[in-house]
Amino acid sequence: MKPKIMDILNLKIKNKIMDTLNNYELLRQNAGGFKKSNALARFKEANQHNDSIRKSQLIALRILRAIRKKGWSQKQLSDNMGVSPQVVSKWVKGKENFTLETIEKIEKALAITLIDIADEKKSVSAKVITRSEAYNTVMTYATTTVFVAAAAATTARQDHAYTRLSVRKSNHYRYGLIRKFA
Amino acid sequence: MKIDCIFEIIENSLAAVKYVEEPSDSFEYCFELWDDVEYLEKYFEQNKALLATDFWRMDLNDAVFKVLNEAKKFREDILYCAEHGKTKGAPRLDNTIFRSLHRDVLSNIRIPSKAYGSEEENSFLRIYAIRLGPNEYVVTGGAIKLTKEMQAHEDTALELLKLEQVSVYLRGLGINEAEDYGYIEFENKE
Repeated sequence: MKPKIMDILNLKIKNKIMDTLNNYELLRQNAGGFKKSNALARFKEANQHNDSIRKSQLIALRILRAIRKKGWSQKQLSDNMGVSPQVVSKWVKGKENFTLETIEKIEKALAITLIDIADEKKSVSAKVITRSEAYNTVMTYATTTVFVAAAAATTARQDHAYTRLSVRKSNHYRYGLIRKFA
Repeated sequence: MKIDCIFEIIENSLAAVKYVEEPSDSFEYCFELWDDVEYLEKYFEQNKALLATDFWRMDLNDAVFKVLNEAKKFREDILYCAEHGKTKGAPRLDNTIFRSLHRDVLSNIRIPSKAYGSEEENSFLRIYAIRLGPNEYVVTGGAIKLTKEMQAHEDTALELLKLEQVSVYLRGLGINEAEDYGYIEFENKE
């Protein structure tokens, strides 16, 4: 049976199209199409939250290193802490948004420090005080300031007196009014 | 590895093979691993001896964060190319992201870093791809490259096999004129 003229034409047209397709398009066509990847959207999201993720990753690494040092498995940590292995698995991948409570529990379980805020303690030691406490504090400060000022003035006066005395004495020496070794 | 299908990362420019054995396409899977602290800690623990060589002289913690930082830089570069690549004069995958390697890479070389500054700036991360034409690539996989020769480590040796496998697959689909079968390396330039 002879091929129909239209089939031949279609084949020729198809071959012509194939010839003009670049390799990328040829791959798309011959592989049955490409699936759409969401990689770029995920990249954008990852880069937007990079700073907070980085902190989680640092904590995750410290947990992993502590587990390894102790010779534990992640299961042992989850058993010790009374959480599921899936929770620990999420922690150590560096994807968890840790709460301070969780961090404290992990620190106790592993006997390590995950976040060191020792320096910050000094700057967050302010306490709420009553009005009378505030008044007393101000008055104490004022009294102390006055006392220190008065003491300084006294010292200055004494210094001045000593200076005058020593000048007088030196003048006396100079003019022979005092015989030092007489 | 068995090829499942092809995913498109950047329209008309960057595609990636998806293998049956992996949960996502080869391009995205690399970045999933390079952002997974558990995987990285285990990987470098197993390769501690290589990190300690004169070439790297690196602590495990530093190595993990080096990968995390490089992966971030890669993501930024790819996003930039995806967003601006169609603009005339803007960075494209050719030359800015991917660079062609000497054919000897399959047998031998880790290209000396002369184009990329001192040894300290050597990057860990590689994406391997086949160049189909100008600014057109299909990714076959990626790896953390710790050894000079690709055959010297099982991970990079596997990447060589994948490059060859995808080359055969492409030829099977009638693509015989790809410009660079298996000689493309996507390298982080810090």
